[in-house]
Amino acid sequence: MSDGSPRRRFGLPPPEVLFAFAALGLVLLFGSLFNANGVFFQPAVHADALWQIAGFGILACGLTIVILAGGIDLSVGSVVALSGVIFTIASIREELPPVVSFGLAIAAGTGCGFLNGVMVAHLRLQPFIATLAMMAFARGLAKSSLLSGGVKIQRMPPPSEIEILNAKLDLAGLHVSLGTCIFLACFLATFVALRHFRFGRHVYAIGDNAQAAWLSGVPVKRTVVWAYTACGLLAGIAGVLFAGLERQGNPDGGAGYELTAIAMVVVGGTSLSGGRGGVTLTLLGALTIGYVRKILDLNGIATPAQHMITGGIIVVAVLVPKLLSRGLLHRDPGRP
Amino acid sequence: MAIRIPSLLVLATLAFACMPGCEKAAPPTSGTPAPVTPTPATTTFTIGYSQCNRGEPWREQMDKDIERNAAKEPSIKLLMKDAQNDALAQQGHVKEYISQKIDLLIISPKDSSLTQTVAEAYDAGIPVIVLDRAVEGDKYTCFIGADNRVIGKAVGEWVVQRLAGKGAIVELKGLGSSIPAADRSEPFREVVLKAGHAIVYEADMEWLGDKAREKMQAALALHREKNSIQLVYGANDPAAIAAYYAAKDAGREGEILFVGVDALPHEGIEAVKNGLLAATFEYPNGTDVAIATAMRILKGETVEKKIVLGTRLFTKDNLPSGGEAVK
Amino acid sequence: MSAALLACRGVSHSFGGPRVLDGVDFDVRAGEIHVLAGENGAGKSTLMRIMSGLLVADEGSFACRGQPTGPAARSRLSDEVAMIHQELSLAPSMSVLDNLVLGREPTGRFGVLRLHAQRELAQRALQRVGLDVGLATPVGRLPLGVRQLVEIAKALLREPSVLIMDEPTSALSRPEVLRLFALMKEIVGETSRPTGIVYISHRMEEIYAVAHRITVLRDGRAIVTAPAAQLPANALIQAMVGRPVDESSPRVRTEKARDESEPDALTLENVTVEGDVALHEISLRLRPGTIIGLAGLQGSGAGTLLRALFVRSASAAVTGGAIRLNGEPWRPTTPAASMAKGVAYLPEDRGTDGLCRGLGVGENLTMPSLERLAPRGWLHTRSESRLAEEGVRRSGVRCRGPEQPVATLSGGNQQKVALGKWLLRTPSVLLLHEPTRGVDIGAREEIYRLINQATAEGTAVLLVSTDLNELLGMSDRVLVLHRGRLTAAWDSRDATPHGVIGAALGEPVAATEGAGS
Repeated sequence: MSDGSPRRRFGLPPPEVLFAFAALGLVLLFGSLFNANGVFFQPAVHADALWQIAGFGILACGLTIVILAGGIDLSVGSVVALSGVIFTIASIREELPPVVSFGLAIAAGTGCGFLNGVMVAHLRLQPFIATLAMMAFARGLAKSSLLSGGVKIQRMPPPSEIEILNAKLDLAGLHVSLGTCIFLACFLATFVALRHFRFGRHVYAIGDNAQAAWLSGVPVKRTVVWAYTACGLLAGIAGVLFAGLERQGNPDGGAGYELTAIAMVVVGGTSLSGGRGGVTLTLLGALTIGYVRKILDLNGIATPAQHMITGGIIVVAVLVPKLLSRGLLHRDPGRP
Repeated sequence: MAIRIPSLLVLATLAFACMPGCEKAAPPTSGTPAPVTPTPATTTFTIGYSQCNRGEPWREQMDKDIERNAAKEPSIKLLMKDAQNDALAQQGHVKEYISQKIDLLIISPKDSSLTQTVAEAYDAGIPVIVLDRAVEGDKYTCFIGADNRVIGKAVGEWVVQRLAGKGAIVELKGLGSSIPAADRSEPFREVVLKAGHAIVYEADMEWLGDKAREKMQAALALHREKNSIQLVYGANDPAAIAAYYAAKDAGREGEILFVGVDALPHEGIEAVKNGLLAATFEYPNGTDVAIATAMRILKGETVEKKIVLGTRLFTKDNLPSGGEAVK
Repeated sequence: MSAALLACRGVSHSFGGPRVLDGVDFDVRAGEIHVLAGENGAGKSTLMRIMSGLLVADEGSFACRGQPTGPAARSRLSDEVAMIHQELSLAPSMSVLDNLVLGREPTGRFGVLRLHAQRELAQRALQRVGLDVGLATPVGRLPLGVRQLVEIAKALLREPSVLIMDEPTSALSRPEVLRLFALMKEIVGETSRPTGIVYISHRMEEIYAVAHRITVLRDGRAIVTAPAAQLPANALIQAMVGRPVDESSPRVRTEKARDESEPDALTLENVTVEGDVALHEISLRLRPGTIIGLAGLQGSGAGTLLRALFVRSASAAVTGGAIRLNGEPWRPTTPAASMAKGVAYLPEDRGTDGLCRGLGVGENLTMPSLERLAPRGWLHTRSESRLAEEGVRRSGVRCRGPEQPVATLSGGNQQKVALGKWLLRTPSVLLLHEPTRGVDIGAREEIYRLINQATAEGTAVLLVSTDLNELLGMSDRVLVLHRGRLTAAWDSRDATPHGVIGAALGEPVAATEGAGS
């Protein structure tokens, strides 16, 4: 097992991965205990859960890249709305061929990410500020009269390319939704990019110490632009997926999704200060958060209580590994 | 060169971010009042209309409706202002109307902080129709508003009449802390529970379609036997529609009835037309009643202090005839 | 001379390791300027921090105006002693007024600022240093020399009996320096308020321009204290160098005679550098497989030159002259471009510039070689781990494996990684800045071995070090920088610590030959 970061060839998987697994295991254990009269053991429930996680998980993959490089992207929620609106305008209103609709939506997301990267790398804006600006801009663009005019874009019944997104693939008797498969594909792509490409190593190096990385010949600016662009691309894909799921382009959609996705990254164990963590951790974090929601829904826990429980889980998931590794592992004796 | 172009975009980005309410797709009606109806020679009455926030679909529809209804009366000249969810701006708009000496004010106030300003207009001798949201005291001519409790009860009664035998119902409620959510839920539950139906799953979908879909998926998982759910009541149409799609993805849309509230033309009505929803109940904006009442006031008649609007039921059968009023 | 304003007896201190100060006696009298001299690392800064109450000494007794106080009497010391730091401690965006009264704002009841009293106080302080600037001016807009005076005015506001100035002239122009000296003499000359000044400098001419007495620190000990007139430059240098020169040179020279037709690895002709320190007319020739050592005290520009030869930035940039790299004209721009030409740079501070310490040993070692390992972006994991293991082996890094985070290694092993990652590229020119700073003796020997090995493979090395033993021991040729100019050059067998220190302090040296070669 690996966390997408450096090779680890000796002994156990690194402690972060163990902790992330432990958190997920604990959540699943709770699910088995409070199984809502056995409903939790139905395969269909898990297919649903994965499907629900898919969109957020894709966002979290993109955010993992940016966060590992020492940045943050607050704009992904708005980009989801923008990409979804563009996709539905193209497919529902303009009735363009599906390939063009997908392409336009994903290109819009990629473009937003690229601009984020340019603002951070070349204009030296703080990532928080640059992507906050993009968050407002993309939302405004999605709602502007150029695109949706603030109205949901939908048609009943929806066109076939939107229904296709909700297709289920029969994998050995298990009906896995296409969204889940796209999520896994995005995860694998991110994993390979981070682990098997020079790009990934550069991302880790910049997140750990951009100055030293630069003095070692790492193309810092180019890598940062690529990182945000990749994040935007993935947000664009997620936007299409969400639009398919809701059968509409909602200019008000995606609000707050960036926070859910960041929570998934953090609960997985990737450090917000950059350089430490990996996308495998994010996969585990996404499953953890997603399953918490599913289990609470199945047990009929009221939504306000769900929010409070999720908040608590974020704190515990980040705090416990920290406390344990301080006592057990002595990894960074020099650091506070 | 490589820097030049992105920097322009950044400036544009920031400009957008700084524009207040840009994400509300600001309508051009803010600022100066725009005459909406062409001024015929017979114009005798100027009505000032103050909208608190056009940036939501229901209110956007409300503005369209009041324009349409006012256009039917040739003697009315309608002025429109949108306060973009800003109480202070709305106060300013009303004061402008007062100094313009309009003949009648129709206001949908942002909140009760408009009480004082409305009273000023009323004291200045301008008749005031307060629409949808109330102000305090009695310094206005007439309040016209819908009542969510009436709607909740109407939905309940329709469900009781529609479901034969004992039904299993899923209720997707609005944001837990909001009064409309409780008002649409409590009378409904009272009626259906009394008739012996069971609410087998209920959840707070926070008025959001995507949340409603998740909750509906949980409901379907918990009640996975065929026909173990007969009906889903969504406290707004997006929730009911999202629940329909969740059922469709589970292959169970055929066995369940979906009922929503709001009946906006491009959402609930469209969904009823296409057979997604069995019914939707209108949450009326009261613009037709408001214009009619305004005419009565302007002709010197006395009107009721409070007019509670009924709701309209839309089903596939009564759609062509424009729905059916519920008493 | 009158009695001591501040007297220290037997001051010793260690930061948990070897003693940085060892039984130092030091006193400051009213009306004197007392110069404290010594090489980098002699213990001057530690002594000053103890005297100004920033640090509590392990041992020692102190007396202020004859009244004894314990070593822990920090508050008494910080009342009596004001220190002007090398890096100015003014807040650049705040006004002159706010800076002057910062931390001692006169307040009325409930902490309300008394603005009028503030202005008066500030005005008086500026008068004392003879400065006429608007109180509302943001300090950041003032020239450095004026800022220095504001800093002194701020220190004088506290009415200290002892004023410590740590290399205050490093950023000042000649007239500004003269103005500062006049002010210093004025301050100690005031009879109404007995004051003494402790002055730290690395410049010989300045030392003799202001000193009444001189104390030389070496390896944490006070070697000599004498009136300036009784301690000529020669004796001063001798006292600073003092220690027996380590005869066993760590340098292993390549036996193989190199082909003379081979071009120079690096040639500088009249190179000008702008940045933290400006350098002028720098010329040198670096042959393949040889080491040139650059000596220079703080502010000499040696470090700036090294950095400017690797990367162009605001803090160090080559702006004039000609550079040839392996015979071809060249100007440093980005690290990646310099690396492509075969230049490698070991920065002074491995923590901030040299290593990604959260990452593994292997990842750090292969980082400069990623271009080669992944020419099309795809990283061959197996060839990477092979290279990482080779790096660990060649550099002799002691670690659990290539995946161990660098942060968990000892300083010496970290430094081996910082150097080893460059050696894997077999650079043609290796720029080394303090290669053994903060490293234990064992690791030091190994680092020397690595450097020797690199030169044997033909790498040319430019070495900047403040460790004289290292510089003289490792270099084939020693050049001395003083205030941004090359002032002396020796073949290393002719160079003496005495001569190098003297030249570094600015003593005129009859160089054996031209600074080039």
